[in-house]
Amino acid sequence: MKDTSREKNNRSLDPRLVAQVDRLIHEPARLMIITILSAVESADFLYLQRETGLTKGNLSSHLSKLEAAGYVDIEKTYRGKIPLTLCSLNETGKQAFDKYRDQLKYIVANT
Amino acid sequence: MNDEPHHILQRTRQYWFSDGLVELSVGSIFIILGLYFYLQTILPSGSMIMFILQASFVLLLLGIIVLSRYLVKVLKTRLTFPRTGYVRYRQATTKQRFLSFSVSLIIASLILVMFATTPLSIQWLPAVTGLIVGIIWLISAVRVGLLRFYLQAAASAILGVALSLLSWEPFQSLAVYYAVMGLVLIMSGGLILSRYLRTSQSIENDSPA
Repeated sequence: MKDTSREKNNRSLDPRLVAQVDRLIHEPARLMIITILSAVESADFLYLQRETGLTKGNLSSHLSKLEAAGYVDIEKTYRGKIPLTLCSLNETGKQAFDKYRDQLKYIVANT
Repeated sequence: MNDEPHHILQRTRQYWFSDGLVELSVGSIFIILGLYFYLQTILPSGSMIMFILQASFVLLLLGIIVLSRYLVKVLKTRLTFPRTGYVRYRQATTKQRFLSFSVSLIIASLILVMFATTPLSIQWLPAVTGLIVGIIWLISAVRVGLLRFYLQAAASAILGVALSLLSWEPFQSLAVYYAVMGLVLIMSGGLILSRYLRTSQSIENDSPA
C-alpha cells in the first residue's frame, strides 16, 4: 500500500522542479551563510567566518556572489578604529530563501 | 560542528548567551533584590527609610534593569564582539511587544487578586515568584536549546516552592530566594565567561581578505 502511494507521489513530482532549485543558495557554504543571516538582523564577517568555518577568502567570495545576486547587503563600517563588515539578508534574499525551503520541502515530501 | 540548518539557527540564537554575561547581569539584579527584601525584614516598619525603600521599588528595579542592560552591551562590545564576532538580533515587533505586555499584565493581575482574596496565599509568594521566574527560564531554554537554562528553571521552581513550605516570613523567604538564585546565576555565568575567555581570543581585524 505504501509503495503504491510512493509511486503515485513520484509520478506527481515534476523532475524539472529539482533543477529549478536556486543553485546559488543550494551550495552548502552559501546555504550556511544564508541560514545564519535569516535568523538575525545582521552579523559581521568575523561571526560568519567562525560559524561557517570558511577561510576569509572563501567567505568573501561567497558573500560577493550573494551580494551580486541581490540577496545580501554588505555594509563596511568601523567599530572604533577596527574595520567592521556587516552582512544582512535583504527582502529579496528572504523571499529567495523561503522559496528555496518550500521547494525542498515539496521535493522531499514527494519522493 | 553540526551544519544542519536547524543546528545553525540554534547556535545563532545561543550566541547571545555564549559568554555568560546575561546570567551575570540577571544574577546581580537578583542579589540586589535579595538585599532589598532583606532590608525589608530588618528595618523597623513605619520608619522613613522603609517608606522610601517601598515607594522607590519600581524605580529601583527599572533603574537596575536599564543599568545592567547598558553594562552587558558595553562588556559585549569590549569582550565578546572582538573575539567571536558581532550579531545584531531582530527587535521584537509591536505585535510581539503588545502580546508580552498583555500576558504580563494578566499574570500580575491574577497574582494581585489571589493575594488580596486568599489570606494564606501571601505564604506562597516565594513559590509564585519561583514558578514565574522558572517559566521565563523555561521559555528561554526552549527557544535557544541550552541545558543550563532548563536546570536554572528547575532550580527556581524547586527553591520557590521549598521556601514557601518552610513557612518563613514572606519577605525573608523572598530575600533567601533572590540571594540563592542570584548566586547560582553568578556562578553559572562566571563559569561560562571563564570558559569563553579561555577558548576564544581577540581578533583585531575582521575585514574580508
